[in-house]
Amino acid sequence: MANELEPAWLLHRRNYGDSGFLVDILGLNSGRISAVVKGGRRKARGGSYAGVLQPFTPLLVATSGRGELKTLSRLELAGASIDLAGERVFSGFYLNELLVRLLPKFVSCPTLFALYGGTIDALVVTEAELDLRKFELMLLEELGYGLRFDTDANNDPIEAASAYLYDPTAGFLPRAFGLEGAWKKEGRLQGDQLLNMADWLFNGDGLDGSNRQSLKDLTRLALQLQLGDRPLNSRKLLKAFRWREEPSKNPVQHAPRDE
Amino acid sequence: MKLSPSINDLIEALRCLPGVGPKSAQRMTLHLLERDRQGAETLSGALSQALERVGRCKSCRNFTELELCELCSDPRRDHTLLCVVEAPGDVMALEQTASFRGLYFVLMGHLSPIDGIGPEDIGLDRLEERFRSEAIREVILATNPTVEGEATAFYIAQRAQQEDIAVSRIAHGVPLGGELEYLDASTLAHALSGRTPLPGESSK
Repeated sequence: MANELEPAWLLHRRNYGDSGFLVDILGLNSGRISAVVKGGRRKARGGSYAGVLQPFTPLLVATSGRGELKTLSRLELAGASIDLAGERVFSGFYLNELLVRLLPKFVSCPTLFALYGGTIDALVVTEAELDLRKFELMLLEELGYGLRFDTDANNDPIEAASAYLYDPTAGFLPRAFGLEGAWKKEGRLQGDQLLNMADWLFNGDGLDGSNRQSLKDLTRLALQLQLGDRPLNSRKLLKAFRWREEPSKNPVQHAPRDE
Repeated sequence: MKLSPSINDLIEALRCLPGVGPKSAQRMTLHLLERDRQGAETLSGALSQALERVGRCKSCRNFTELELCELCSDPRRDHTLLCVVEAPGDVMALEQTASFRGLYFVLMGHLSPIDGIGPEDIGLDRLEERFRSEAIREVILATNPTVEGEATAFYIAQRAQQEDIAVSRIAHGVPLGGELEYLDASTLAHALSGRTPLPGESSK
């Protein structure tokens, strides 16, 4: 695969040495890779790579090297960079941070790659809330922690009238599993909500406002297990940003821990 | 060859400078010791003096020996105009143009969530304080035209607008003496979308 150009997205870039970059890239075939871009900041020969190596820009890259850290041997622009306006760029950063934090290296995941591009595209025109959810679900799937909206933890079908508790390690626990009184509010759902989510995911049905919120809480809970104690900085940033617009939602005062 | 520890230390120390590898560090060391002891003394004096005295301006965060830097305390400058830049080098570049007479604010970086750099790390709390406490008429956002730079500019723009301050962004486009043919597509697209009407045209 070495030295063959493949479509890729830049996830993260930082300066390396006097004139190079250290980049994290999501490649179609190679998955997430870290690579050195030698002389990437140097202007002299054929212009620098600084303008091309930007997040949300479709790239064609080729890497070489046998170790864990690759060397970027070729880089081309595969299309115009996608302009995420305003707040949506923070959602883009969120995707990148999720991938850098969670996706293991060298695991090819073409579906996730395609979904990443689709989500970035969707962010150009809308808040893309449901696209972000789909992306989170697909990432969890890749990590082996996918959510099954139609079966509970015992592999029984979800029943619309029952209550369930989501446990990130086990799945949806039916009511009989524990004392309902001891259940936290977090992760508690009704069967019909889950069925609605299944219909949305598999049949493309709509999802109403409260179910959207439940789904968001659900994916957060699931991702939390993967992320551990270190909260996502892009989420903190978005919160800090929104807090000023709606002072009632001050995150510092009543949600010190990222939910 | 085994060098004395002091020489080795100096070589190693010089390597912290950008663009200085082992070979150039060695040349510099030998030059200083062999030919220019006076220069070496001046250098070491200047270095320790700068480290000791230079801090950050409390108003613009740029490097200065004073509490309030020369630019911020200059009464001839336009105190209602504030230009936000990422680095001290940007201030120097803008000052060389001699076409800006307002004040600066130096972020010392840009928002970058993956690196854990949030609003407080680049002094945006201090900047917001200035928005509220000073009579600023216009904020010029001169962060770099990168995705992170744009995100930072957007963040600051929202804050400034909440305080009813006019916000502008520096133009991106074709460099003087540049040739369109060799320009990358995104720069060219920016240049097109940010085109300005020729004088006289607009009055028709």
